[in-house]
Amino acid sequence: MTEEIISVRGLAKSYGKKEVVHPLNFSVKRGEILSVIGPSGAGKSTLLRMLDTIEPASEGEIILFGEKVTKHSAHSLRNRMGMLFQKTVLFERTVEENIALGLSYRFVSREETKKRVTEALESMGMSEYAQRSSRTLSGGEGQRVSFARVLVTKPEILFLDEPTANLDPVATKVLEEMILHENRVNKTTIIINTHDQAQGQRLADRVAVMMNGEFVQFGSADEVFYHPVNESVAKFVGIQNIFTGVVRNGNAVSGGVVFCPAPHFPDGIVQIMLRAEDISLSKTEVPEGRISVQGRVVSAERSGAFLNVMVDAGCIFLVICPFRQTGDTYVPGEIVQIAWRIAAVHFAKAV
Amino acid sequence: MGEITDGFLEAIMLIVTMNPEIMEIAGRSLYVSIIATFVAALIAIPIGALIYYYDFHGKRAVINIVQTLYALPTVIVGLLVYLLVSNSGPLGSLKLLYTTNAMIIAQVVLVSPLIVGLTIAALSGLDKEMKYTTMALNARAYRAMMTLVREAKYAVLSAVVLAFGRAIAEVGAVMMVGGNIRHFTRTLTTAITLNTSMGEFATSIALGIILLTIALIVNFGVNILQHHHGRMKDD
Repeated sequence: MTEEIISVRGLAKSYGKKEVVHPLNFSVKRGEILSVIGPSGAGKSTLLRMLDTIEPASEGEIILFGEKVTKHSAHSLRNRMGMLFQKTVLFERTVEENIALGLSYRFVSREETKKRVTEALESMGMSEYAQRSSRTLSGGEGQRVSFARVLVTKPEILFLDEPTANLDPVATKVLEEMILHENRVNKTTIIINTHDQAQGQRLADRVAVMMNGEFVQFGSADEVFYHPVNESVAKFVGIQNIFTGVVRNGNAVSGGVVFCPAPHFPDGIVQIMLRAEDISLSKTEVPEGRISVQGRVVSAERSGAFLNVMVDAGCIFLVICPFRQTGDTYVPGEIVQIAWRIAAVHFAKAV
Repeated sequence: MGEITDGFLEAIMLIVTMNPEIMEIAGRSLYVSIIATFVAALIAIPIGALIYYYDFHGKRAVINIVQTLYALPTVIVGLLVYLLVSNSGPLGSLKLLYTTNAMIIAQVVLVSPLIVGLTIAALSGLDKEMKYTTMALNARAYRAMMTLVREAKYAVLSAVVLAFGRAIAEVGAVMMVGGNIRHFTRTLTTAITLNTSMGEFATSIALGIILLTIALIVNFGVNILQHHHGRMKDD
């Protein structure tokens, strides 16, 4: 069950002279969840629409289930796939009729349709909604119904285009669970677009970072989140402390701060990255086995359950710590110790 | 002044007493325009849906031409259909000239562009994702178009009602191909033209009141539909 279910070679899309998706090459294995993360306008939606064969590619080829996508094969290939959009699309009919729509397009028998729709509603705990008009649903319910409409067609590949972007946190969680359930139970292959990097991390086996129509990084979630290839990826995956520094005499240095030993890194200019939550902050003691520097508090502000502290220690660091853990408060001008583990520091070649 | 007042009073009498000839003319007008609008809708809504659904080169130009045809002069339509159905024309053998059928054909030609154009506009008013959803659910093109037209039904319906309004108010084309023959092809508009030129103002005014009433009802209908459509969009 590890054959390549999606394989893409030189796939590109242009609108007029503007190339929105630059030639891409990648493949996805059966049962895998690939998350495509990236800022709005990076070409993620266009990519998914091309993969779902509802938008023709400008160049390159797509191979689905071992079969090349052509004008003639698209319809039968699409029978085995489904797609969910960011904007909830419900037709002005009952919930039941909405869910049945894809089956009616496939000329599935009335009894079978009834059976699948009833099952779908039951599994979502929405049986009593069957006869309700789709217009009476909340955002989360509507998106679940849209998802059920796709699931009843029993897709082998699912394309999810920012499915939770318009939902509140609770509804997002419910839908994420439905997505994971579909993957775990039915072994459905899933490609999900999201601009929420944490969602990508939660759901995906592999993550592709798409920026300006290109995959700038493709790897496991940990690789992307802890070892971003460049500054823009680092910023996108939420690394707040990024410094331009140098490697000299086996140490990575920026602003007079020695971040960590870098014995295997060639001398030269580098980007030094450190996640704000990987830095510890204290007024007195320095934990063992860590790099530590002394600094001065620039500002400290609450952000929900966390305290965001800016510390000037040669470079300006952002440190995030749980507010209630120590109960400490920090005032600007105060002298503090910040520390981090050597392994928390990540370098990328400066461009 | 007296002539107009007298005309009005007599006109109201003609309507209240349901003067047979006036009723016959009003009935024929309604018949011709309703049938023409219905046939035009059957042809034009699918064409509008096709133009909306498919992306092709020159799509913008086609839509521009359709929109230009909204203002197609009625006498040009009259001339075209006349040439088509006259004895020496391609449909001459069907003996359609000076029949209500010829009038229906003329009105179909006249209002079809309006329905095509407004159907495209109605469908373009839907979310782009709606079209994508029908495609992603793997609908054949005709099923997708049916779903989308159904979804835009209020806007499409108001296009049809508007087309009916243009059909029933039109005089040039029906005059040319119908001939304004009494008891046969005389409609509200052609009758008003004739009676006014003959100085029969009372009859003209009576017919005018009926025509205006129909126009008001049509406008009222469009308003209700658009209101409904607007409310749907707000939700």
